[in-house]
Amino acid sequence: MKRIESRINPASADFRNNAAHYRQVLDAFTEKQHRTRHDRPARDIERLRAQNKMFVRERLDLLLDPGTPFLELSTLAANEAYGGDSPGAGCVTGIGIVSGREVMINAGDASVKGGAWYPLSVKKTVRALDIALENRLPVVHLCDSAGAFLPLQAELFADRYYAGRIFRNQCQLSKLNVPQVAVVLGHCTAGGAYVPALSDYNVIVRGNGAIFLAGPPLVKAATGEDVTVDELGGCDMHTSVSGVADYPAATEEEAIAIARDIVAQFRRPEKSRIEWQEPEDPWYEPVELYGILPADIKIQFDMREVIARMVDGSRFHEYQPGYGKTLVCGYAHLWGYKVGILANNGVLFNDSALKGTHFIELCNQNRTPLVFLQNITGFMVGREYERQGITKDGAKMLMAVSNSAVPKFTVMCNGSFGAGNYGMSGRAFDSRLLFSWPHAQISVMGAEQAANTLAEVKIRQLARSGQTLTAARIAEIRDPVLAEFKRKQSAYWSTSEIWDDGILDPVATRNALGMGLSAALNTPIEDPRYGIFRM
Amino acid sequence: MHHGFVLDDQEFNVELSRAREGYRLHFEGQVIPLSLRAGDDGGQILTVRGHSEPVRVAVDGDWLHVHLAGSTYTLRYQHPLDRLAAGHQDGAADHIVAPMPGSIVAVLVRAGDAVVRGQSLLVMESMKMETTITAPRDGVVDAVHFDKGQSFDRDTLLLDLVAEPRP
Repeated sequence: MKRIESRINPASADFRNNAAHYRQVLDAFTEKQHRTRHDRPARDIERLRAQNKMFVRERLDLLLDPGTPFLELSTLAANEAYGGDSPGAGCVTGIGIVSGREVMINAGDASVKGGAWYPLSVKKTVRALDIALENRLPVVHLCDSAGAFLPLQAELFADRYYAGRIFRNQCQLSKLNVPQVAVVLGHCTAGGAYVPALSDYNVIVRGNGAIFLAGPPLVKAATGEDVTVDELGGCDMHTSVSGVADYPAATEEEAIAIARDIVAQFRRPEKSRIEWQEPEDPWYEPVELYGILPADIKIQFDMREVIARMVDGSRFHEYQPGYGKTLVCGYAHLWGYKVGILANNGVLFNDSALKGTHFIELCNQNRTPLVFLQNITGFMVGREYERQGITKDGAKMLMAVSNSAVPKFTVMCNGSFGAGNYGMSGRAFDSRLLFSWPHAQISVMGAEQAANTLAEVKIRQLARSGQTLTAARIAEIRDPVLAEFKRKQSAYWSTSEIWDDGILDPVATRNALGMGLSAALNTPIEDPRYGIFRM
Repeated sequence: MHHGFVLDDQEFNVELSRAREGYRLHFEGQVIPLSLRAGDDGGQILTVRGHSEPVRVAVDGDWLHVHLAGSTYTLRYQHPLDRLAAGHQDGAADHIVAPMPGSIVAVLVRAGDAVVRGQSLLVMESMKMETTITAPRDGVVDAVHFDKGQSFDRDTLLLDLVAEPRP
């Protein structure tokens, strides 16, 4: 496997302009991320202190093994929703190391509206448990939530992927022999009571922790019974009478220490075997990515330059280097793990789609996980390409991507427009993890094209009745569409809606994928089986 | 494993294979037993055909500085696939064709210009994306077939490169 030969000149004006631009993009992202993670109004922090509670970040510091990486997921979830009332969707999820085991963390953040579940909090939690299921990751739940945010209950309660799915996923995890431990640090009321109840182990803090189907006010209203929190569902009642909870703890510190000791009893998983060799750093400096990504999203760049700054030794075995050149395919090692990479170097043509399909089948045959690096404006359009059957070649690629049995990972490296999003394992195609870079954009078509298309439709409608549109009227149609598209195609919107598992600094992507690959190997890799490839 | 080394501008092809102790070096039909082990002073001991010498090796990227028996040798390592790929140097890559249908946004070179590998030659636009076409190797622009604003189909010849200018 030979090293990619970079053609980038870090001294060039283009490189320096791009790098300066990207530093700004990153500063904005880092600032947003820091605010979401750590900035809370003083009164909220004081309230936690008065309740003798730690902030969720302090709890995580105690829970996770010191000096180990924590791959936080969907940090900026819900940041574009609810007027910013639910930073990070009021919970923290991610893959971390506890007592030497890879685990999924699902932690409520009681500093925000008492940790109330908004619709996107539920979506983020369900996604974390979906990841735990797909990768057979044990789960540590840190429970501290006021329960459903009642004004929005209709958008989070009863549908297939709403709150019930959390408990359904917990049951599925248990069936797969994937252990869970819950730490009850606040009230687990109604549905929330099932999180500790469905965990294999749970710990409850005396005083603050409580588990019940209905709290004292609701009990009073329903039956007239007067009862205190402690009598109804406190630590000592549950650990000595009902058996709903297992381990009593005097403080949060003790509770988290018990949880760590419980995780230390978990059986270590047997990893699936794939090709692996001693990892090495990329030969080219990953920070050079900032100078490679063009300041203007319309400007094409060579994805091999990105691969060179992501994989071990910058080495890449390129498959079919001369065919279907707009899709770069090949093998590399990432943190030692052999991966098959598919990366866009332009629009998808018939030949690039066929090459991609063939390569996905190769990787399935030889059990090589797939990494998709998206920068795609779509499949080629036009008479010639339709006559060559661009749609059926695209369909072949979708067939291979959807039925691929090896773990898949997707990174939104720049643009993701049109059906190319699907062919390159977009969100709907079940990548184990999908990350975006902060400048990335996703939409069904470009903002300009969408605005023009809608204006064109209106112009033609009116032309049929003999009317014409003034330039001002056309602008009135175009401008709002343009503004709406621009807002909703940004990575911040995608990540707020949890269309990805979080935004990453491009330089951090190598580590994130390494952790994802390691986690993915907890699940046996099945043999691939496909449907009908339209020939 | 096959290795190519360039030493004093001369290329040597050697192969290493495993032996019970250390390695065997295959060189021009000979099989030479050798081993390399750590010495006491932080250096290493190289044993070739039973004869041992202390050796110090410093690695700087692809360059190896080897200090052996009072002399320093500088070698450059080249991956065999790169060395063998030298045969592609002129060929299809000199005739630059359109990777996709589109139009020319900017022409950055003229016939007769000397260009270096990686230098931007043309900027084209297609499917809402701007693509810069760069020189696949050092050479001289022989002909540019399109002007700014002109459009073309996929695989149309856009530009020719040659190794040396025409006389």
